[in-house]
Amino acid sequence: MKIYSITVFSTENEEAVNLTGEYELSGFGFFQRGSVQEFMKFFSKTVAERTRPGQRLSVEENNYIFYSYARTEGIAGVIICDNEYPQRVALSLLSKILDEFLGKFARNTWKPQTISYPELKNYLIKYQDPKEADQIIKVQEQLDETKQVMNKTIESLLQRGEKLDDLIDRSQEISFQSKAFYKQARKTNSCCTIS
Amino acid sequence: MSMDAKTLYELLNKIIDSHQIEEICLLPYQNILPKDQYYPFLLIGSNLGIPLEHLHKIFKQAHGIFMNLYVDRNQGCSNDKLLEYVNNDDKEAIELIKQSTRCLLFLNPDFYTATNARKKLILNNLLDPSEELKFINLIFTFPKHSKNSTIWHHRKWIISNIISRHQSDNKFVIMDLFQLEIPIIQRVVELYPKNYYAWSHRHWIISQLPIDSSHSLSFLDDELLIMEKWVRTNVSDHSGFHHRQLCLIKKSQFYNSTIVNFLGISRDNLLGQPLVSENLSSTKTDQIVLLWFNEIRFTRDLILRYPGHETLWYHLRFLSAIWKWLSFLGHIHLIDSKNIEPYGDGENIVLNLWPDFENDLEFSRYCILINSDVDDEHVTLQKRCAIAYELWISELHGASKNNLDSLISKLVEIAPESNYYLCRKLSFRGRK
Repeated sequence: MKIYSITVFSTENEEAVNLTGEYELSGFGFFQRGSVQEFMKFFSKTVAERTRPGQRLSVEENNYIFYSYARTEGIAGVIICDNEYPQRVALSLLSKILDEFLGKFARNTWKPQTISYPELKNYLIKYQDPKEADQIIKVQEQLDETKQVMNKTIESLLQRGEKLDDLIDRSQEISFQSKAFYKQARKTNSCCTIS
Repeated sequence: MSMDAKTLYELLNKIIDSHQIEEICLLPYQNILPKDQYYPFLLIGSNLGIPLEHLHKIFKQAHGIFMNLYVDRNQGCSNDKLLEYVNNDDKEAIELIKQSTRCLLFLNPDFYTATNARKKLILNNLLDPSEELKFINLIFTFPKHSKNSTIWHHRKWIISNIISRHQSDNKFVIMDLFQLEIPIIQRVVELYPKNYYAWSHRHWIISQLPIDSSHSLSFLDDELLIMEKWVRTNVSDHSGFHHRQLCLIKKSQFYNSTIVNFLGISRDNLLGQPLVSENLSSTKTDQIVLLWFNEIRFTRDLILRYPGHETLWYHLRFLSAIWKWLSFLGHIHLIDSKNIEPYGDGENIVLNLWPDFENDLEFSRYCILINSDVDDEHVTLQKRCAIAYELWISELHGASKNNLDSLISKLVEIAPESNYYLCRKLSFRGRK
């Protein structure tokens, strides 16, 4: 049971902008960590861009689950965890974080440079054990009117003609080292980010 | 810029000898700075990256050096050549063997001849066994290598070697040695989950603990704490629960050494007449009963918290069998259940039910009832696990054939793909 990352994006324009994010990648080797983080950010952004306002998605990819929630206010949050982590907890946590984010930061401050949200790191550490979240589940379940979650795969989120490999290849945010790790993993047919 | 094998091999050795390397990784790319003194290797802090494309060359170079020194071309592999260097005090040859085997094992830990050569060096006091353990720690930072049986065997051999060296040394504490193993195993199972070899090694350490020392008891208590944390956040990892079971049995042995006879007992054995219990003080039996009752409550809590994880139910099965074993030994009736503190906030009564047969049934039925209005795969699986558990404890307590038959029919319905339940149903029909 593990949460790997929590990221928040501004989705006002066609291309989502990563406003803040925290990662827990101690389970990876030193040289992989940077690449895993780049990929997680990239995939999170891809999912955030494809989540319609008001929608909640659960996207499974290689034993990782992405939970995304897009708010009508123009932000979206994405949590990446393993497939053991309870969905209910992940979604409640996501709602809580976005509520808090909107309360803390006015729209004109939504730039990666100006957002300082140190609590996010604490959440990432604290909620590694879902037991800690009993309280927020109770609160969020009363607040949330919609409980609908759509299950998707990364492929099903892509538009016609789009291919994941091409997106990765073209991406400026992914370093050549990370692309090399990705290709290596593809060759050995293992998971995309763990070599 | 292409580099020859000899230069690469020597540069790699130089880096390893002159730095405290803590992690090694095979990289699908080279150092991007050709002018870097370690090019094409990449050294960041204590982390060393070796480009994949050079592996073959380096391995061949190390292999050539090693085989040339170690293997007699006329007689094949033999002790004699290494022994010759030892007797002639040929430091250079010994150093070359150390270096080349180190390289070979980094790249291919399955190289028996190389591990063998290093064992001989240890036996001749030319290689420090504690240093060799550190060397293996480094090999394990390649996630793939952490599942290599040759290296795990090498590690076990070294530990046994260290223990035998200190047999008559009163100051030597075996627990200090074991203490170093736990963090390594923890790291390895994190880097490469479901690592059978790592868990087996951990079981072996627990099996080596003497049951008459306070050092060993506190070691075991630490281990139980670590494992509680682990299983709580790895609810579908049976390896973790299995290890916790072995730790709990070991802990019970501190109170009653015959507990361990449970391993190897079948359900049929438990249906017979209870054994006449030994004269055991009631404090000791209370401690045993409390240990297992707490584990049962802990597991019930996990089952309710994380529905649909088969591993948790299997753990509960194990616990119900142990409980039956304890009552078989005559331990259970001695404790007054009213004196036991409630689990958690005490709100959930089901968690705190005394685990006799009736209450166990009630728990599994509660698990089905509580989510009966939700339709999702976890809830479906939870229902199936709960009924299968009911079948298990019913058989454990010798329930009537009719009861078992109706449970099996339910399972056939809920799990139509399972041949096991279908066969059992057919065999019931056959007997009628």
